[in-house]
Amino acid sequence: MHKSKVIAGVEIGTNKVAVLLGEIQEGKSLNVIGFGHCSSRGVLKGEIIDFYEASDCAHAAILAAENQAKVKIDGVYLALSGGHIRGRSSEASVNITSTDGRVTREDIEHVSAMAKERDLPENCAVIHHLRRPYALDGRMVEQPIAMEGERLEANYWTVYGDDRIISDAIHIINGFNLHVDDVVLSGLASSVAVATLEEKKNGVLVIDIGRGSTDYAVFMNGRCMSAGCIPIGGDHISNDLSIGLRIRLKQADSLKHRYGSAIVEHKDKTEKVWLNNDLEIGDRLVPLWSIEKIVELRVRELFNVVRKKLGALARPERLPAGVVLCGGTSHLRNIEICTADVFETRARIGDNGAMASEELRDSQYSVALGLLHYGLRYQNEHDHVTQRNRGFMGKLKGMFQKV
Amino acid sequence: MPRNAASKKGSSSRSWKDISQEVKPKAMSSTAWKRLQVGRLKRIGLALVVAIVAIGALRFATNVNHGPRLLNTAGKELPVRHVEVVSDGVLGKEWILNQLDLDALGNNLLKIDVASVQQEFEAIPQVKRAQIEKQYPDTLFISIQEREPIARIVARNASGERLRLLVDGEGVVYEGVHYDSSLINVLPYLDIKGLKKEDGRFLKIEGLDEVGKLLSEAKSIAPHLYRSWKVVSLKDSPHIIVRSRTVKEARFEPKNYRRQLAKLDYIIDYNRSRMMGQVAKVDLTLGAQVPVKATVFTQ
Repeated sequence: MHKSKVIAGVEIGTNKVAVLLGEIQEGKSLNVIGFGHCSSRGVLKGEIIDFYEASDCAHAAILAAENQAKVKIDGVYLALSGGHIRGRSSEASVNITSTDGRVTREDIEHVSAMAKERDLPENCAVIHHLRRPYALDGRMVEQPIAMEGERLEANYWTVYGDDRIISDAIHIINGFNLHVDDVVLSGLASSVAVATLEEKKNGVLVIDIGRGSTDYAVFMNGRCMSAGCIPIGGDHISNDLSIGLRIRLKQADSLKHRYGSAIVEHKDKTEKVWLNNDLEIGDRLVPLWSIEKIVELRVRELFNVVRKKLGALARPERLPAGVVLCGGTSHLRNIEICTADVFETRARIGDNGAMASEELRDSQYSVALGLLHYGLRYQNEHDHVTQRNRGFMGKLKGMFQKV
Repeated sequence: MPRNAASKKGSSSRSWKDISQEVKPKAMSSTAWKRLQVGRLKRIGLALVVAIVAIGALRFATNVNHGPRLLNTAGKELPVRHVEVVSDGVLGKEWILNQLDLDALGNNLLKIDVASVQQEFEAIPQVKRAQIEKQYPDTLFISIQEREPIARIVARNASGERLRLLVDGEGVVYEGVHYDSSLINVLPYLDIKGLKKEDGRFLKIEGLDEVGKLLSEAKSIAPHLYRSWKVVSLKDSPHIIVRSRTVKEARFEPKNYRRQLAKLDYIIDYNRSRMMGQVAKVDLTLGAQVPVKATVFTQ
């Protein structure tokens, strides 16, 4: 009998809640078996501001996915985003003490533990310790065991966030009587879906632009060197349009979708478009140049913030594979041209084509899809469900939970 | 882990995994609450189905292993509540129930052995045939066919006491009960050479079928003659000699009784109308010739 496990990838975003169910068979293959989608409420800039509204939306989406797949979920992989998420480099080094001067497993464990032990700010909880390549006497090595050297350095990119905000997100899932097996930064999850392994080895920056926040992750030598989130998203472009053109936010959002472009295409300042395009009272002409200019400025500002956060990691020579864009706002016209201009490297719009069917190919589902693949890859380390179901009574309980 | 405890622990080792993942009702949406309740109901339903199947299987296994015993056990639940009795004679329901003795049979319809009850009834000399039926769930049906007496016979028991017995058309001798005396007193006495007895019971009288035919013929076509008959004798077998108040001795041969009875009736009538006195002897065995010996008629 094949042992299978059903996991859910849940993204509670500012714009939507997306849930994908995947069946992992014998820890080797993943089949997407259910999909739930619900417009989001109670979430602002990736953070929960109304617990019950956000719960209702998330639970409705999970239930829809469960009903579609007609299975019970064993565990949830939850995406986290929002301005509270921060990252920092944690470094430590040890002298190699073995008589033959070769690195042992104990040396690695020791230096890793030291790097991870650094204090966090008050009321913060670690989300990821992303290991960067080791340095052995200053040279970068992927696996230093048995290599000769005198000094071993470990370097982690520690991603952490406000534990109250993380608790709220986890408790929403717990409120549906489900256990969160792992939390994953949204940028990391989407990068699994939209960036290839080759790109990650060469050096690539993945930017997931959502409605309320933007997540990013930069990869080199196949490892994540940095990841984070900034609380700026597609809503800010609409907001700037609203202020700049003195129109309502809803109208600004509509203009952004209809005429928005990340670079100014129309230089003629007299060219105008209808605001509502219904020719009714209140409809008026708006300069197209103004729309494109505002959008471009805002998008450039967003990318510059990301570039500033990444610092040296965002230099073009470190990103030979360029920038991959995903998320709802990545549908903005000419955004890849603007990206390439800002980062001075090539850019493309990512999609999930390599691992998803037609209806899930759009990059707005990259996070949920990436969570499933994250779950497949790391399930052996984070298999809480198996731990809970250990023993005869645990298995019996598991059988009843399947009903 | 509660938040305060985590804060005291220090932020260096604080991970998202330290956040407690208890399911709190406050955190549940209505959708989640419904799902939880439906899940519980399904689990209870499944547990009930499993329990019912298990109990059913257990009972089935017990039935398979102890089937016959269960059948007997079930019989204890079928007591006899009604006994229906039909008799074509003089034996009443009360007398039959006394003979049946339900308590001795266990008062269980399933336990009653119909054949043995039938044998018990047919062992009673007055009962010619008995039919016993079980009518489920609680009724025992008894139908009795009694012997019809054609004559009386007098015998003595071992202590020399005189016994008044009855004989039916098949020659069975029995001690009749519940007969009305008016019915018994009109029966003629049977005069035979010797009445044999075995195991305390009188043996069947052989060759009595012709007597039966004669008496039943007389009873039906000449009841006035029959009522006057006192003794029927087989001592001069195969001839049947009848003694009555009107004819001291009438001899019948064992054939065509109707004709012989008609002749006897004519002779008696003729004799009475001529006032020729009482007929002493009539021999009806000689065909057309009927010798009649008359005594002097005295008024």
